[in-house]
Amino acid sequence: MGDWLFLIPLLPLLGVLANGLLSPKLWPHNEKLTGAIASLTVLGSFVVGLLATRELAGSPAGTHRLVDTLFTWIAAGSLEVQMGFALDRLSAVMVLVVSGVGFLIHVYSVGYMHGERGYRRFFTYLNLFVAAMLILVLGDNFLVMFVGWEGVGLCSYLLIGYYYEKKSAADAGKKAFVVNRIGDFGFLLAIFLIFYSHGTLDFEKVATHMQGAGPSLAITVITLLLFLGATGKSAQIPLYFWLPDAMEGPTPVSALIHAATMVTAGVYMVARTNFFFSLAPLSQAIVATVGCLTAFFAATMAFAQRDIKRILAYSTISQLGYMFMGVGIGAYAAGIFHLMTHAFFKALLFMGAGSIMHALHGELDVYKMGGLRKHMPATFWTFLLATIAIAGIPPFAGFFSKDEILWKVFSNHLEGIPTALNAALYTLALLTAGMTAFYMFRAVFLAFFGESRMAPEVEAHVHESPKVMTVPLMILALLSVIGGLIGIPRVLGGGAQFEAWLAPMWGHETEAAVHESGSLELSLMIVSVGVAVLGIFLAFVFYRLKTELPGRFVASWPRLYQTVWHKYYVDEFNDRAVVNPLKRVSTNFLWSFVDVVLVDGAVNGVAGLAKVFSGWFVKIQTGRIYAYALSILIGAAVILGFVLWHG
Amino acid sequence: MIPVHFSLITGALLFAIGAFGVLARRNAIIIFMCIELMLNGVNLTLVGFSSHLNMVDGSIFVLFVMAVAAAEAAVGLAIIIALYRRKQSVDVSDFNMLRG
Amino acid sequence: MILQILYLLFAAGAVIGGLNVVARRNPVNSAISLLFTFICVAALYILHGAPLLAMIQIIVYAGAILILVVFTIMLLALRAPGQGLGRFWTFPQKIAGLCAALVLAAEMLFLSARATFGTVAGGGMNLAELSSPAALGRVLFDKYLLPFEVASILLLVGIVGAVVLTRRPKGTAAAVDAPDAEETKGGGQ
Repeated sequence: MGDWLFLIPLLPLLGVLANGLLSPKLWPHNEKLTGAIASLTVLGSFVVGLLATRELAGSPAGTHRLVDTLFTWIAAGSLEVQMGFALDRLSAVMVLVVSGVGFLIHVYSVGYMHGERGYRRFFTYLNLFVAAMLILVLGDNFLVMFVGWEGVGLCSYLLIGYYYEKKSAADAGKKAFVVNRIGDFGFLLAIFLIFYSHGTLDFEKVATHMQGAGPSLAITVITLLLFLGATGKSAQIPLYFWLPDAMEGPTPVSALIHAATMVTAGVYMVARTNFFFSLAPLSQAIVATVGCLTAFFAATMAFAQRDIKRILAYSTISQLGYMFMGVGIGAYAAGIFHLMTHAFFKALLFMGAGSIMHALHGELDVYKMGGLRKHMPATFWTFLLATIAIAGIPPFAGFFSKDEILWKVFSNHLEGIPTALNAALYTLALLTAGMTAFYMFRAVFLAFFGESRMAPEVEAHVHESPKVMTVPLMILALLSVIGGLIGIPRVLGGGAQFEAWLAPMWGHETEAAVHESGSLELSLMIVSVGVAVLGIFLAFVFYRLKTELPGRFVASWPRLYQTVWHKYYVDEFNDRAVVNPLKRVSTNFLWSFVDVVLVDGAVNGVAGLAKVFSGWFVKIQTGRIYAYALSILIGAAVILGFVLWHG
Repeated sequence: MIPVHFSLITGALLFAIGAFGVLARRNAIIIFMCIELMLNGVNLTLVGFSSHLNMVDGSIFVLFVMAVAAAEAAVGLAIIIALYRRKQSVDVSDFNMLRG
Repeated sequence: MILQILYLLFAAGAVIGGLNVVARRNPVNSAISLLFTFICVAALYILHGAPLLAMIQIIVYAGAILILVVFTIMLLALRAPGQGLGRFWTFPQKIAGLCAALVLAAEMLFLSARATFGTVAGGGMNLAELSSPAALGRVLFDKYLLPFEVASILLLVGIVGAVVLTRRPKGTAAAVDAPDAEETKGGGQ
């Protein structure tokens, strides 16, 4: 039962071996085979995941997870860590999302990366990423999860810097990795603290410890450190600034890693450690607040961007903020629900952008597009559906998940935290929802509608993408439309199946019934839809009706525009406050003194000491036979005397 | 019947004389001859014990010492000849090339 | 009784011969003295009751090793005074060597005088049977087979080494003056 869980991460790893090691020798230039192997392994993981989920769902009421322990990885003193995978309801959702969306993106990449020089390298890394992500979500203890955590960070670096000959791409990869590392530091400290206070790193065991425990400073510290790790991986304040640069990577990478999967690892982590967070309301408040602020800030930055991928990047950061709001406020199911729907429509949006780039030979500036809906209908319609979903218009997927979060942010009160916070967060989140609708539709209007602003030679070659690229788009569009239907809240007469399915994970065996504030929930829902529609309308006004308005706005408030355009000068601030001082310290102190003087000095000093001693001893070797013979004889006499003395 | 001390003392004297000779002479060939003297002293001791204890093993040892001495003589003298070709001398005070 | 006197006689002869080896300047004289010592020692072996060893001593030492030494002295044809004909070290060095040797001798004599050695019944003259060729051969090829084989390899190495060491570099006058290593295998033919 569940003994073959290990296949889920293993299959993509086999793809890595095949494409990375075997293919240079056996099928060096066969793009189709490479792409097929890579995609099929991920599909295999999806199928195995599906079968495992079915088994989990059909298993008797007591079992809430399938376990597959491979071997004891570490057994050192009191630390014992298994290499084990566990599939419970939460990981089931994650596995299916990762492998399912991953598979579609693999298929898409077969078309997108066609003709690239590093085709094989791309698929090797992509498979490696999927394997690492699956290890992350399937791990049954903190350390295995950390292995996956680091693995996806590594693959992110490798794939962002895929075009390694381009300096900006290489720099972006480095930036992503280094910023991630800062977060990982927090994660590691949390792991140490967890081991220190619980003696084990196994999720089940720690959760059992925490049952019936009360809040404490230790737990608050642990949760804050865990969240620090999450901010690094999931691009929240203060460690978000690597994500826009990460758009240097190929578009499928942006779709898979920086939209659907890796960046959601932080959300998963908070949900997974809910047994900690539920006991630390202060941390929960911090998580929710950071998420909300990030959502708002990122949305403002998206307003001024011209590069379509950057718009989507800031949108991702913003939506991740929503997810953190959800899990922060204690609505773990809502956060994960939004994770899932976001995976659908954000991956679709990125792939659509890739489709546009493919047709326009790499043009990214929306101000150099226009009127594309005539040339690329499939891309246009799927993109539009995804944008409607992200704007939160019912009955599309984004509405249900985002609205669930908004409602919970409004209504879930945290112990000991003033309810004013709920109101503040809700207001800001609502505003951000409207902004989301606005800037997303801005992109749509500028790219697909209106007169063509493309360069003539580009316009001549505009064409729809091949089927291998558009079919995944269509599948994801379908999911974006109907994906929310499994989470229709009670108040609308739905079954809230998603929340119910995940409820046992947070210790509520029974689902919350529709409480009296049903009408309040309904009215808030209407408000959020209204805000979204308002956003769309304003975008329409600004970018279709009175297209001179944006220009006038910029002209009236140039300073504001410049600040937002430069992303609030965060990168420049980082450079001056962190990077340059670090470089100076490294050069002038750590290198000149610690390394050259201390370390080299010690090593050279030892050698020097050896030289001194050998200088003394070499005087014994005179080369004169007489001296040697005499010393031998004297030695013999001494030894004999010794023996006689003690004989 | 010979008391064992006779052979021991004679052997010790031969050995000591040979040892002194190694240290006192500068001619390599004569040093070599003194080494053979030392070996004879040892052999005498061995035979003395073999006789005294009624065990044949001592004699076997002597046999092997002689075999080794023969081989050593061949090689040692060859070395002396080779050194002579180099330095035109067999005075050991001239052979300090291994100084270091 | 007479055996003991004979023994002392030959022992004295061996010691005097040894002193002569050390004292003479001319290497040839030292070699002759060494021959005398060898013969005295062979006689001592016979007195111990090991005639086979005595014969082997004559054959190997006097008949092979000493010949080698004499050949070497001849081949090197040392004539010029500076060629180390028979010089001694300086006085301090001689004294140091003397002291070391005397200390060693004293220790050994002390040891031989003080220590008690076990006796076996009928010890002494049984050695004739014990070290007869038959007896020696029996032990040599049975209990001491490995050392025997190793010794033969050692002799082979010696032969090869001697030839290699004295080879003249190519292109010079023919090399006939490398002494052949005449040797016998120890322990019966």
